[in-house]
Amino acid sequence: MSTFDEQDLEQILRSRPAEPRQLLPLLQDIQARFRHLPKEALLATAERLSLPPARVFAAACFYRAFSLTPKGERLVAVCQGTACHLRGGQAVTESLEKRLGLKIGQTSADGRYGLESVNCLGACALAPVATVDGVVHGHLTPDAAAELI
Amino acid sequence: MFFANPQSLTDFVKSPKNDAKIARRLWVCGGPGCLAAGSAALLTALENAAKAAGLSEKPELRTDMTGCLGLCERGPLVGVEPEGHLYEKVVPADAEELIERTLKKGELIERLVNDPKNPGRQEHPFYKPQTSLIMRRMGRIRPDSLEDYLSADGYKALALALGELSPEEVSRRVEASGLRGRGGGGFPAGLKWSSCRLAPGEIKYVIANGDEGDPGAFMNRSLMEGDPFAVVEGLTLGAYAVGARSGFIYVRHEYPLSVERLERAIAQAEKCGLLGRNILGSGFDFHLETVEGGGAFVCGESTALMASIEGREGQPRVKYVRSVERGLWDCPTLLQNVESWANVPLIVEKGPDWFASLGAKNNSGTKVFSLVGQVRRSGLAEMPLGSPIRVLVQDVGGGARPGRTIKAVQTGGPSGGCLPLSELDLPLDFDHLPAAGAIMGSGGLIVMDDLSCMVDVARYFTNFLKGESCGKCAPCREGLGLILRILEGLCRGQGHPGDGQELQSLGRSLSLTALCGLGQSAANPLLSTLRYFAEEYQEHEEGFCRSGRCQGLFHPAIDPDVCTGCGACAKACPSSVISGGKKEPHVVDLDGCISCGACLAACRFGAAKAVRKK
Amino acid sequence: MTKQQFIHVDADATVKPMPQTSDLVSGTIDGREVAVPWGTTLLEAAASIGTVIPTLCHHPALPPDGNCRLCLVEVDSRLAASCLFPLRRSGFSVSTESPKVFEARAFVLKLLLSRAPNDEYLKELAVKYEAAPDPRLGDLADGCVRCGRCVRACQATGTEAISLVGRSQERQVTGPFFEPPAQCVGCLACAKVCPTGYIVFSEERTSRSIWGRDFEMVLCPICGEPVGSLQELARAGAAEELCPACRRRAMASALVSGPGLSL
Repeated sequence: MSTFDEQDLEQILRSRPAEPRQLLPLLQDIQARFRHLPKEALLATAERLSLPPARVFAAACFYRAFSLTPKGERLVAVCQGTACHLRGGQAVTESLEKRLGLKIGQTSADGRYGLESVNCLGACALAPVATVDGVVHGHLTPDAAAELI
Repeated sequence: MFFANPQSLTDFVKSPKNDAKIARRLWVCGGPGCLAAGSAALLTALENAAKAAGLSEKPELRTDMTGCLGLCERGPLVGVEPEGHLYEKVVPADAEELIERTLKKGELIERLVNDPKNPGRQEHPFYKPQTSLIMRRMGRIRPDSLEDYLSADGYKALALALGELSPEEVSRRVEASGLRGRGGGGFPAGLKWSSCRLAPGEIKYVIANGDEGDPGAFMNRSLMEGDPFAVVEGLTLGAYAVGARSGFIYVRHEYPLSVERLERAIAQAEKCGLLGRNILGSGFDFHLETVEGGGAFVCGESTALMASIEGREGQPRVKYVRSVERGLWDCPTLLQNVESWANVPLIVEKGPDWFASLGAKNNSGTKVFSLVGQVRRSGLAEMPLGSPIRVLVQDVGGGARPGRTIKAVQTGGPSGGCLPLSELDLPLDFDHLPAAGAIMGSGGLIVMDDLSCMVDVARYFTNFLKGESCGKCAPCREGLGLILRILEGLCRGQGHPGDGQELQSLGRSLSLTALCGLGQSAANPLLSTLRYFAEEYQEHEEGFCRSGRCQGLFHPAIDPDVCTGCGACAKACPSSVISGGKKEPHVVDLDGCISCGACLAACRFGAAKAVRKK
Repeated sequence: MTKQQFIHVDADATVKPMPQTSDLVSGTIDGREVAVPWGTTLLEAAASIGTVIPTLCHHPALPPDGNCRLCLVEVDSRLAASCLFPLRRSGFSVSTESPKVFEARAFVLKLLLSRAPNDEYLKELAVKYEAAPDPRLGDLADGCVRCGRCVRACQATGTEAISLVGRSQERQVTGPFFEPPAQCVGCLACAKVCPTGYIVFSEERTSRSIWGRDFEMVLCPICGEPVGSLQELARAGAAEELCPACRRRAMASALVSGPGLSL
């Protein structure tokens, strides 16, 4: 699914007007489609919007929503919000890192799992929480977190 | 449904509608907390149960999802209309009973309410001290229904403004209301409005800042998802007042549902003549769209946010010339927080005097707070400005959890400050908090108990802010990194005498020299903890953490006079070094103890304590 | 995050019509009277009376950015970046060397020096402001102060081959994808404006290297001296490829021998 498809890219690029302000929306569409921003896609975006590649690359690196390497097929995101931190989020993070053999921000070599952090999910009453493919799991303990995988 | 003029809107609201026939309704909370706790599945279960009970043919008995009801701690929540009861921790297994007993017969299910003698939401200790203005439609309307919004006084203000008020008068009302920006420092909104209105320029913009990046804060999300039309109407009024024809709602990347709800609201409003060309036949055009953020905390800063809308990196610029004069694409721009915008229809409709009568001196109106952390009842609470912190923490929040004592309250998000117990009577407003070294911020209120180490808290926030620093100016880019390294050393037991003092000076210099609001306030967590909890810094310099938070900087000890022998600590201990008979005081065998603090967190009686290492 | 809790010095409490830019505003800088056209930056105003404010990210030929914070001065008891601060009201009172300014500069210098501990200019300032690089940041001393002068110069030439990439301490100047920038024309503008000499390049008579790319030089057909890189001249649309000295000579002789010259 993450393989680069030029037709898909072309379709995405044509879906919005060629204005500089469409840079972020386009990068978001590309990220959603390819689970990362392939180099070819960034160059094509730069060309479509008549922007220097240097500026497109800077934007791609600046925003957390974007990734230059493919994200894992299954995404585990641990909340690092304040409430989660106070209620033992760090131990949950460590447990997940150990279980997956990954550090926050890494993707497994086979591309199956990705471990991320998220600043707050707004589910502070359930702290500490983590999501697996977007589904929230609350009141986690280190053991319960490891069992999510 | 199309409104060709203000009168047609008024006529529509007065006309009889299907909703009037609704006899009873179960409102499932669709706030972020309840959704995470499974309220969507609950709604499905209720709908299935209703269908099974043959209610699908009875439009007078309904189940619907509404916006955030506030009491996240006890979610998923279900409100019962018209009785006003609030059911807590409802699970799909309860669905059938809810339909059969409550929806059909109006019976109270006692086990699902907080207090069977006072089952109403209004009598609940969480809600009793609150004043509901911004949140008033939560539990009363479906967020994606324009009709519901209209029937709950929606668009009354716009009809009034376009029908009877000049742009100057709309602006004047906001000025006279004393509304202050709900996103941060409480800048007088009216000053922005009049400046932007008078600023020369053909093209102007209005922007809603919904990039709610504070961890532990979700009031803007709840508002955008629970009452999106209020934000849209507020922006429309603002555009009319200052002469803007385009507007943007910048929504945090992590809030896809907010984008969806807002876009649906915008589309409905456009279809019905409430947005787009010639709104309500007045000749006023206003185009509104959403922009999804890219996941950068700094984009909550207004100039960075505008850079982001323009399609660039979210880099703040120096604000010697303000955005109302030169903002988005160098045009005059009125940018406000989502909650500020939601206040606008109320002010325009009910008048500035009414609004100014709420709240406190120079702090009119209410504020939605997200009360989270080590407190019994987490959730969203709306209070008049100027309410003492204590009321929010003790009455609304229910105080500390069993066996714990509250140590500090952190307000204003990552760049806010930590206030000690002694400051708990401080009024929550834009003037008192800064004087005490904290800020209002967007209304985050995080309760910390004796298990929270204040050095660790400073380290946590500094680490967060360092990761979010855009790296443009030297003080924030390099200075935060330096501060973080020192704090990390302290938390690892590698502190040095004098670290606290050095941090004080670095923090002060950082506040003085940084380029934008993020950098200038980035030292607040550090400086406020140094101010109120200096002894904890001193202890960390010596290698001791009294809270049992920093691993290896303490020994656990169980007070035999307090220990009830419940065994919770022994169960929690990962190294199995705690022993003791049933109902006998337990003991820790320090040989093999890794000082992880699990026993301290497990003890509900406060018997397990952190002591200095020998 | 929280916004605007620091309302800057220019947050007028009243709304006034925009003054004409030809209007003069006056005030004092370190006690000395000064009057400048409306909107003049504080740095320019100071320079007009011979007061030198230390700068680093500022370059007269580039748009100001205000990121290094070295030029902070005290305006009506608050700190402001003088390279950007526009004087728009009379009655200002500026101090360029107050204790607060001293503290701010010492802090900023410590941080900048931690990145570029061998820079002579920063070292000189460090003596005056009693600053030293912080040993705890020793691993970050790569010689680049992230002032972005190179990026702004590259933008100013219309090339924009390089950018500052990443956040916080990871921010660095680079070509796209951390590769040699394909758009670079080898004009060396970035290296010439770099205040710390971080951007390395090599130059010989027939070739130039910068950012990991090699450029062939165009030689002056008259004297044989290098004029510029092939790509640089192509970008500038230069019709003739004489070196500046030969071009001057050619123009002078054209004037002298030309038919239009009458004394």
